[in-house]
Amino acid sequence: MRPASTLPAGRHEQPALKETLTCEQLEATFRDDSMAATECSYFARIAEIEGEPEMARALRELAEQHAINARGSLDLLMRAREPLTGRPFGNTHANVSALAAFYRGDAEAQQARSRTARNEGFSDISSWFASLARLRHAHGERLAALSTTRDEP
Amino acid sequence: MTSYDAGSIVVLEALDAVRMRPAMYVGSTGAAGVMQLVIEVLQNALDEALAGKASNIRVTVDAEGTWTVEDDGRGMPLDMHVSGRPIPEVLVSELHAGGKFKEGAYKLPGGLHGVGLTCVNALSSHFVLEVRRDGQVWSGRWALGRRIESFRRVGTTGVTGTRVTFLPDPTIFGGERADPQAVERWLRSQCWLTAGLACTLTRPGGTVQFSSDEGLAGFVRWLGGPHELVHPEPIVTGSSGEPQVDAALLWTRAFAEELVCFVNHVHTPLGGAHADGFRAAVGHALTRYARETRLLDPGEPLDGSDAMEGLVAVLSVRMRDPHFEGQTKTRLLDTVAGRAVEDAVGSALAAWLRGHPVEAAAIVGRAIEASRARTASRRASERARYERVEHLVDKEIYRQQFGIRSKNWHTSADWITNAGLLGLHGGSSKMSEDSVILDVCCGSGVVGASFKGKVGRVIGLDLTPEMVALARTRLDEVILGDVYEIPFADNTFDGVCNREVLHLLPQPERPLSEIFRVIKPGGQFVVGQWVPFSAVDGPWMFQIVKKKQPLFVNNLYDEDMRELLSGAGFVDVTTEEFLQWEDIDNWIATWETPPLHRHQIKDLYVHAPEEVRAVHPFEISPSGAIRDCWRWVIYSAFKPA
Repeated sequence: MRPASTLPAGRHEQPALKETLTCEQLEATFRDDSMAATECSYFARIAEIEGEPEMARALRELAEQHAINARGSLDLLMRAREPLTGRPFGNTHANVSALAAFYRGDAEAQQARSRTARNEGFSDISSWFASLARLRHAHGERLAALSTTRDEP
Repeated sequence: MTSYDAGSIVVLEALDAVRMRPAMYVGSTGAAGVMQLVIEVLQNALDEALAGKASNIRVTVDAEGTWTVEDDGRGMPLDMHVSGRPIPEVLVSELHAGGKFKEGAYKLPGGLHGVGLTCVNALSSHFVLEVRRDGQVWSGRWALGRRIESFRRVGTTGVTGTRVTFLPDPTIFGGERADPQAVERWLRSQCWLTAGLACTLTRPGGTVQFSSDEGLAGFVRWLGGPHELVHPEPIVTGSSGEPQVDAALLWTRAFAEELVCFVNHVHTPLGGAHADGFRAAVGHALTRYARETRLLDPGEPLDGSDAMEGLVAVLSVRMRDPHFEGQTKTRLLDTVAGRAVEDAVGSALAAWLRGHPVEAAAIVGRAIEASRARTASRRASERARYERVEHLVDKEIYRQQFGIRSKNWHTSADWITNAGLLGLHGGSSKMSEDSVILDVCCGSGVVGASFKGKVGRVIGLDLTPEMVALARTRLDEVILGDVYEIPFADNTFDGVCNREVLHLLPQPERPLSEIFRVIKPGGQFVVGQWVPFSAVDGPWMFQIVKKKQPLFVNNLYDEDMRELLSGAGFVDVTTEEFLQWEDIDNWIATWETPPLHRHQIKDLYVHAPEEVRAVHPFEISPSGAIRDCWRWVIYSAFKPA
């Protein structure tokens, strides 16, 4: 770290973002905007079907904004960690490694959720989780295969 | 290392570009792409009719799949192009050459605007253009977009018109054919949309002719024909100006809506701004009328999708310079058209409702009925969930749904009576000719009936009295009962058969253990089930099926089925697979699938991820009709001797 005395007057060197409350809040904002983007575009289509084109247009525009905002938060998180796995990310190799790790871990998480839903009597939701677990596993394998191909001399 | 310099840049000849990326121009290299070629040629003929210069379109398709489209319009201009070639030759061999780019020749043209005829030429193994104009007959011939015979004068004539003959290139389209019935529907539609137009379609097996002076009213009457009507006469609305909006509406007792939209006579199967405006107009007009007349309880909601349920409608918009999503014009983007449709249809429909109080009460009553049914269906689904927590199944929900569906059971989906699929069930039998088998959850009894002649006696079991009555016409004996508590003693049957039910049954292990219990040692169990093609299309299929059928609880993969069977104690599991094409529009036109879900199911197909498309075959035709390929697996398993 450079000594504070060498910084231009009125500027401070920023502390590391990782493991801070700000980082957690940035991740929460990323999650919120990602979820809101999905909801807004989904609700826009429902509005179209229900014959509410003005509402649909407004919701689509909101969805676009949320998606852009989510990417803004993701840009800032590159200083710290990838929010799904806590791994470093930023370039394609690191991004794909992080996602492959997410798929591996999430396939198991979805299986556990499937068992919980089944024990609580929600057969359909249990089956949904189990279907996602299979898909996560397939996606993990796909990315792992791509990484292997890329790493080969 | 590859270099990226001037030498690596390939400039393709126009028609080579089309042949290299055909789907980019005509949407598909399957049957839908062939259909698009036919439509492109037809659209050119229609443009002459819309310009008031043609009144007849004659279409012929022969047994080899060669199409001929002929109109009695002006014929293409025979002047020389600045390139020194006759204009018709330029029109079929240059992209973006056509009379539709300049105002004057055609006021509101359809087609791909200068791309269409050129694409047809490029993608045909045989292409002949014949023009009759100014007392002369001119003709030219091409193959795969390459000129075989130059376009030249070949005779004289007293009539005018254009004739195009082409055979879609089998090396591009793999021998796929355009569906003559879809062409028939297109011609029929255009006769209703275009006053004074007569069309003829000749195909192996006969000729049909169309012409009508009934306009859009005739069109909706024809669309609504198979259904019971809520009101006898169509509601017809029209507005002049820009855009010009014409519509006809007819409410039926069917579950699905059918809104057929056109922009400048081009069918837009995915709708767009004009369809959105139409839905808004109908929803608002009916809701406002229902509130004004107190047909709707205070505070009771009425969704736009409820207002559309059972509605058969045709919407025609004519406008200058429309903008579409994609080259094949499946969805209109202009919001100005949406607002024009909302205003025109909304005000006309509101006035009609006020002037026809008896019919209006029937139409609004239909929408309120749909809304209340949707609410009841959701509640039933919630109730089913609570029941399941206690490991019980609410049999009343099954009885209600399948009781209603029994009325049109055999026509409600192809898979139910598909002979190939049923044949694999009966054909799996390893039982002796004097065996007695049980068809559990037998429905109308078609699966059990597929074992007839192979076993001695087939007994059916079903929960729904209506289905029991249907099955009694096919099986030797049918009993009202529950698969969770099969009303027979242990080791009663030589075999049990079942199809496409386990995915509706919470805790499928329980009915399977019941089935195992009633089979004699050494007896056979034959069960058919559709399954996803792979892990990749599983969640996508889950969403489609769950939206169609709220009772769907188990997305069963092939591995799950094998595990369930071995878990129940069955051994020697063998399988046979069957690919079956289902008409999705028909499959989702049922009581248990609300209008919103029908739209969302279609969206799931239209926007299916590439990853899914790579493993799961399905087709969307230019008219928007969806056919899905279902992977059926028929499992044969045995109770240990």
